[in-house]
Amino acid sequence: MNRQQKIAWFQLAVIAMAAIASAAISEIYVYKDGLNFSKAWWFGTVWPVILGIILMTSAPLLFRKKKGQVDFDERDLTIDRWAARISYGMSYAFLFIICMAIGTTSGFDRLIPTYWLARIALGGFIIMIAAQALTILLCYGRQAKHG
Amino acid sequence: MDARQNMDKCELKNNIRRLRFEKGEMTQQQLADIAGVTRQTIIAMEQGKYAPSLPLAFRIARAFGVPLESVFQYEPVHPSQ
Repeated sequence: MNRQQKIAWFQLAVIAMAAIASAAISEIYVYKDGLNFSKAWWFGTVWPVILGIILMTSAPLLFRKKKGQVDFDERDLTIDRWAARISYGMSYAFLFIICMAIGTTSGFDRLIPTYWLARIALGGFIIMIAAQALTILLCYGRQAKHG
Repeated sequence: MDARQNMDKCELKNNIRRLRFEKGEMTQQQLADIAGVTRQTIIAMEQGKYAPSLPLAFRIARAFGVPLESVFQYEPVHPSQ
């Protein structure tokens, strides 16, 4: 498993753990503190998301390059570009679908609460990172099984 | 059948594995170090799952000390394959 694959697995693990932590904290806010679901979700996701973003952006520092050894070449660059294209495509598709769904259900001339914007942006970000990590893992899995 | 259709039915083959053994049983890692790529890329090329860029193809041919055509062949795909 090379550095790119390790980073991809790490990012997927961080997303999964942040999702579980968010759900658990939100549940605590709902059942223990009696907050309504929207507020509980808002407060419950803040710290797991901040921690998750810090961990995901620091992944290249956690998985450092080995000195004196080539660990990124033209094939890795090709896979990286594919992953970037697919992840941006997926996140924009998500944003478009969500906006259309909101417009269709609530009406295109209506306004939505501001906390929905944060949710939509967060969803797009998570989909972007997850799609990138999955594409990297799929491309390596398909192209070199004995690495 | 026009020239474009003929070109579409070709595939890139290589003799990297055979040449490695002829070159004193060179390991994949040794070839990777000489060519400046990772071992995974050499494995993917040997399995025919990755087509290298022209500069990399030349570096690999140079590592074996043979012309490019001795390492890589762009051959038509037979219908049975």
